Amino acid sequence: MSVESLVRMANDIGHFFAAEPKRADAVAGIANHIRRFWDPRMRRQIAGHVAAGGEGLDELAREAIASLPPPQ
Amino acid sequence: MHVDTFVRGKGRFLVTEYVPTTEKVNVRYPLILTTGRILSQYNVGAQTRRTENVMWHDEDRLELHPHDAEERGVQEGDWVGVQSRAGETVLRAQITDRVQPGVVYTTFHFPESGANVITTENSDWATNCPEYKVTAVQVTRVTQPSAWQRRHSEFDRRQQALLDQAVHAGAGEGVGEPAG
Repeated sequence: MSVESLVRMANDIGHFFAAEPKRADAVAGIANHIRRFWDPRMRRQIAGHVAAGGEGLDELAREAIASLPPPQ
Repeated sequence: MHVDTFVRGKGRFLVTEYVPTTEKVNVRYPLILTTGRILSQYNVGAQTRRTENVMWHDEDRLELHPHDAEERGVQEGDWVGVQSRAGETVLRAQITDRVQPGVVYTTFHFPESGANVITTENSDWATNCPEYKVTAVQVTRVTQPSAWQRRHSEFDRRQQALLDQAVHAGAGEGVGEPAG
């Protein structure tokens, strides 16, 4: 899957959770969704993208991805 | 399970924000295409197209408002090309004020109309439910179906001919006869 698609999907998830009054809840919500529903290959790819600067990712999504344990 | 109380408490309400679509109209794609169903065909019609229901709906048509039709020189029953950022297809026009100016509508019960060729890849973040209700398009009068539709119809004609051949060849042995 192209990294642009992953960035768009992560940002879309972020737009939903941005409505959470507490920032920590939003970050946890995004991280939780990605951890539960993304394939390990997708998680590895997006984690690699964040490590490389995370171009195109919104703040919330970037923070959420950085908080995830490294995928196996 | 829910005797006396609900196991997870009463309903949990969340604040959500409106998230607008990224699909926008512009000068090149000034109309919004929305797709839908009609009662007499079920989903993509794989089952109902084989029934007499086709007497009510035997073709997907592009519904457009008289104002949009006039601007484009489109008359009732004309072939119209529908172009989006994703692709293009050709349908016959149905002029009606059931749709607002600026909005066009079609059903997706027939494969040759290819509504999914023009809809975008956008989908819901949680369920991946595709965004089939909002596609920016342009509509122009054309003289014939698009290239892919002509390929599709040629392919379909060949498959039907092969099926007929197989049915005839196997008729003596009962092959190809529907059971029951």
